[in-house]
Amino acid sequence: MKKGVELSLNEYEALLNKAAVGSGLPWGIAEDAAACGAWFMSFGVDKLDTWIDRIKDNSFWIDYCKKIDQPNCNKLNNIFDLAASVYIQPGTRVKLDSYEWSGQELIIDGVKQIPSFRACLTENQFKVLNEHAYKTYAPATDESRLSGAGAGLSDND
Amino acid sequence: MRLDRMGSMHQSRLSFLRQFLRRAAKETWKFNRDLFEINANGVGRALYRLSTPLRDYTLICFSHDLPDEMRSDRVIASAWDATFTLYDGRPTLDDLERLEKHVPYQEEGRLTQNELCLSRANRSVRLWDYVLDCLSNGNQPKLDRVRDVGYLMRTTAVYGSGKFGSADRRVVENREEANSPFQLEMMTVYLIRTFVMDLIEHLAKMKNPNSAVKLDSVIRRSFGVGNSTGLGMAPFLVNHPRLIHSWFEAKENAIATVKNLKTATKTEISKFKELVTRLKPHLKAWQSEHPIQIEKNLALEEDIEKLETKLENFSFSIGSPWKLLCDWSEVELSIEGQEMLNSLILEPYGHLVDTFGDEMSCDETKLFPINGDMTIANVRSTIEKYYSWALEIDWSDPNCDARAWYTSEEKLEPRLGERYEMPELNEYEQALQPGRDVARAYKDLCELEPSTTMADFLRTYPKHRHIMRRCLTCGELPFSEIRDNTIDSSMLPIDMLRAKLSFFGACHFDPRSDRWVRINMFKGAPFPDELSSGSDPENWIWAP
Repeated sequence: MKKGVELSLNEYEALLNKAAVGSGLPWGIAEDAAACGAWFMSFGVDKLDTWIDRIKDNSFWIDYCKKIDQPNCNKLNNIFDLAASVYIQPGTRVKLDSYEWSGQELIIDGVKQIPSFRACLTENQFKVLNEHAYKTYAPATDESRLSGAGAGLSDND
Repeated sequence: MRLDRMGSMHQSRLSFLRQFLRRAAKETWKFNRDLFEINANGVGRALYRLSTPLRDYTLICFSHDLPDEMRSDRVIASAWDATFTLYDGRPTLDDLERLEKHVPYQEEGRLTQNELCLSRANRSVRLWDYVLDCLSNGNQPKLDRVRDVGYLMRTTAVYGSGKFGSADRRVVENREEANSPFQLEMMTVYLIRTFVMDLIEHLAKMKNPNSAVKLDSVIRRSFGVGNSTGLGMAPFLVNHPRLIHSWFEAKENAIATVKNLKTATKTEISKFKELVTRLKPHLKAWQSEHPIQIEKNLALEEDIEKLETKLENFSFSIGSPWKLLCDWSEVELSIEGQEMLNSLILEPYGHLVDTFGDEMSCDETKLFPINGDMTIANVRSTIEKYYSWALEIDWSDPNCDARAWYTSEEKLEPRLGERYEMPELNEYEQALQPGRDVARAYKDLCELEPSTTMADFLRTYPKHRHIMRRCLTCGELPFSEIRDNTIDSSMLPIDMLRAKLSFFGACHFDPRSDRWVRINMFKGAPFPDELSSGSDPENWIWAP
């Protein structure tokens, strides 16, 4: 297990989603990209750095989504294709290089992966994801602070 | 699923706090205060444990001495009068020391999979010092004054489901006591209520050991836990369409079950009438200074009088009496009154409707699939069927897209801005306006051949993927969508907050503006020790 930051899996997926939107993916595609990244983490597929590189590539994820939407003619070329295949047809047994999906669990190099609901990432990975996610947040201004929440700053009543 | 109706909903038998209390009583959960170390300034820690037949849950409380100038209910606050976490099991001293470094800092701290919820609360300045003075001087606070406010502390957030490192929802969802929505959050708030009562009595005793008294049991029951809810709840309703569908469908099914009954027994009628008589004192204690809520409460008061008059001559022996009564309400009562009746008629029928509560969860971990082979002709007809309200809106009218939902970099506080006054917000707009987005997608759908596949459409227009997924969800789950414009200049976010809070079991809705509301939870409910000794978990509702 990597030393660094630990998140719950759904917190991690939400962070991936924001990071994907922040790096320029449309909302709907970001959702699928985040689900893919969360599936990797849950089953111990160590591909977060690749995932981070990919979120700058709009066309990669458009192709990925097409594989989910029309799964019948897919070929497995890489781990992302495997994720798409498992995602849309979880009961189907598939194999790619050192990865094997049994229909219920993932086997990597012959070792069954125990699904986890925690996400462990390095400080740097966490920092990079947050830098992307940060682009979805509006800058703090006095006007926003005073009017955006419809509430004042003191609640002593 | 219109905003004005959502903004008039009331708690019911299916509300999450009602489900929580029902289970706690049925399974005779045990309650213990394991630790209470708090000094005369109110600083210290305490542990409250609930034991179900299978496991323990412990509320860890950190009590603080907060200067008045730091008291804010907003997400951007950085300190509170008390902070809490719900621990899965019984914490060790090492756990307490670890959590003392995180829980008081709330969003800035980190939790582990052993923690299930994170919360904080602020004192009611209107009532805290008054009650403390009364008790320390050996007097009881005036019941009317207590009822006007209704709580000594109000929570300003109750986070669960994996937030800030706590346990993922999937860790607990198969536990019976946590399967229905927000059950652990309800447990957290329920135990906070007990802690607050103990704290005020303890501080009174510390202030004046010789003359201080404990709260009278009737007055004690009159305290609920307040809650201050801001805009964060509104995005939740839009972002969880499948879950919201299951909530509304369960309630609609429960109402339909009662309306389909051909007769009502004397006991059922008597239970119903008894609850109607409780509403007047309940309304009297429902204080609000917000002009919209004042008007709605006046209408509700009239509705209750009309209902009482109607019941004087109403024959429950005529076929389907509850349906007749509801049909009458739709003509004669305000929407508040209609919704109150919808909740009231469920009360005598726990044996028929409570099981609908088991159907209010759903698995949201997997995205709704998009069938890429379907033609866009099919998608267009789905949109025309379920989103005609959105297609009829003139989106070129600045009033119709006046607002933008966004997240501030300031502690990620959810906010709503005026788009035309702050055009920079367009860049940060969240996907929380399904009406406008579906109208935009529909326009592009109409540009292509009807035989085009959805996969090809989304390849050409990837920006529509989110809203297309949503449309297909709504086509299968009719209660998943709010059928109103969430960015209209006249939209009231408090309507969305109210709907969700009614499913929690809240009452005494008191909007403080168009986008935040104070409410009360568990007001009148038995405390854990009373519940363990056999107090009725149901018959306290609509307490004044």
